[in-house]
Amino acid sequence: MTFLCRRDELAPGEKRAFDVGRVRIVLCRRGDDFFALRDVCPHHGANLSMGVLTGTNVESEVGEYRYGRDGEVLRCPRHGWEIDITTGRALHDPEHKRVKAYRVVQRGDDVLVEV
Amino acid sequence: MIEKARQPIADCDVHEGMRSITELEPYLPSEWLMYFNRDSLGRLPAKHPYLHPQGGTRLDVIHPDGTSDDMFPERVREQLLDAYGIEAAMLVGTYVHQFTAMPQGKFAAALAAAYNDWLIERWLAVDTRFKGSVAVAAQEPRLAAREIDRVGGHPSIVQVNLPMPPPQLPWGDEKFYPIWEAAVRNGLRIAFHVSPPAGLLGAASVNGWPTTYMELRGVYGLQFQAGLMSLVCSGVFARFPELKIVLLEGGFSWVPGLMWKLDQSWGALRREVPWLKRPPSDYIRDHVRFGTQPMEEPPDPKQLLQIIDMLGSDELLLFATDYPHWDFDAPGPALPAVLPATLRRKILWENARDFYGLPAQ
Repeated sequence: MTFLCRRDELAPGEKRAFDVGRVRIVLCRRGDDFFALRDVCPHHGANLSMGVLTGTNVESEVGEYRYGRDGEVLRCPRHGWEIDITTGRALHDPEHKRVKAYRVVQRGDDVLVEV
Repeated sequence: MIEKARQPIADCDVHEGMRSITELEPYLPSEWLMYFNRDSLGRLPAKHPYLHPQGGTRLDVIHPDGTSDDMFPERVREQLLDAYGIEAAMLVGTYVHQFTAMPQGKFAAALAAAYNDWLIERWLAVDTRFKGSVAVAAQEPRLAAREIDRVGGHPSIVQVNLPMPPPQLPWGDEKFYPIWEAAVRNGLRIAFHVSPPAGLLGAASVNGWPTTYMELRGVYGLQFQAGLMSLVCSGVFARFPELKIVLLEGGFSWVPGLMWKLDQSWGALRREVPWLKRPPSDYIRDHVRFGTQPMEEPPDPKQLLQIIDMLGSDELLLFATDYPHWDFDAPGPALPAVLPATLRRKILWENARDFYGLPAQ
């Protein structure tokens, strides 16, 4: 396990890149939960940490928009692929398009990752 | 001599002819006969603004008295159905696409109804191999739906006939939902056929008005690309899972590129179309078929196989002749020898059989 930061160093709704050995990861905070992904978009390799941690329009009836999953979607800074931070899977093609997700552990006030 | 095919053929684009729009007069309610006057008849319905250098009809079916064989069901039966072994000929009309171009929409709807009665009596009654398409005035979607309900149950009617481009609004617009609902309700397909850019059907292309017929012919594929994207992205297929359409006379070699573009855009812009539950190309493969005429003719015929491979399905192409028009495709010469027998059979018959629910031969 590798120490990344203290809990209060990353507010809910924030994200930040870390180098863990030779691996660059992006740590995202949703409420009290933390999620870590490899910081490389599975599309063209952009750093996801440069994108937006947000929600999105979730599946809806034709012609209607419904916003949801706030704070769970990391949108790539280039072509806008939406990555589910809880799984690393792209929303538009979860079966085939994904980025590696790492296990995050909170120990006291410390946030650690298993890479 | 024409060598008759050893297998059944479905011809998905046949234009039944009409000597004059006045053939509809007996089928029109009295209130609409006011427009059958000396001033109106020469320009009714909205006319094709482009002139073909030789005329749009095959010269070998035209006669000195000005008639052509397509105006006579018995001759079409002999020249087309019997000669080539065509078991199902989808009739897609002559003036019908222009009804939708008419600003006087209620009269257009009356003309469409008259056309359907004429079609049933003059053509569908002659031979059950003739399959009818419901003429509608799509600029009046509720009247169109009513007309589909009125004649859609006829055993030889298989689809609703619509022009590409659309009347003023893109085909994906909610305004047209009553038409899709009526088609599904009656178990009918939708045939979109290229149409003269007349009246409400607007400019010939997104680049304005081409100045030659040759350009116009190339523009048809662009119209279909725009129309197909509208139907997919607006969610018409997501909203009407049973709706099935065929695009006639717009080509198909552009389809792989359009699928790739839409799927790529979907990855980037999915939240703009959250009603799409699957990649756009999935909707196209599930809901859309393409007429083969005018057949794509790559310099190396093998490239046709590559295009079909790129479509991701061998069930998307439906053979069509476009009889009696100048660029008629005969079943033999139009399909190059490189096509394997199984694929040839699918294109000539099986795909249309499955799409229209035709009886097995």
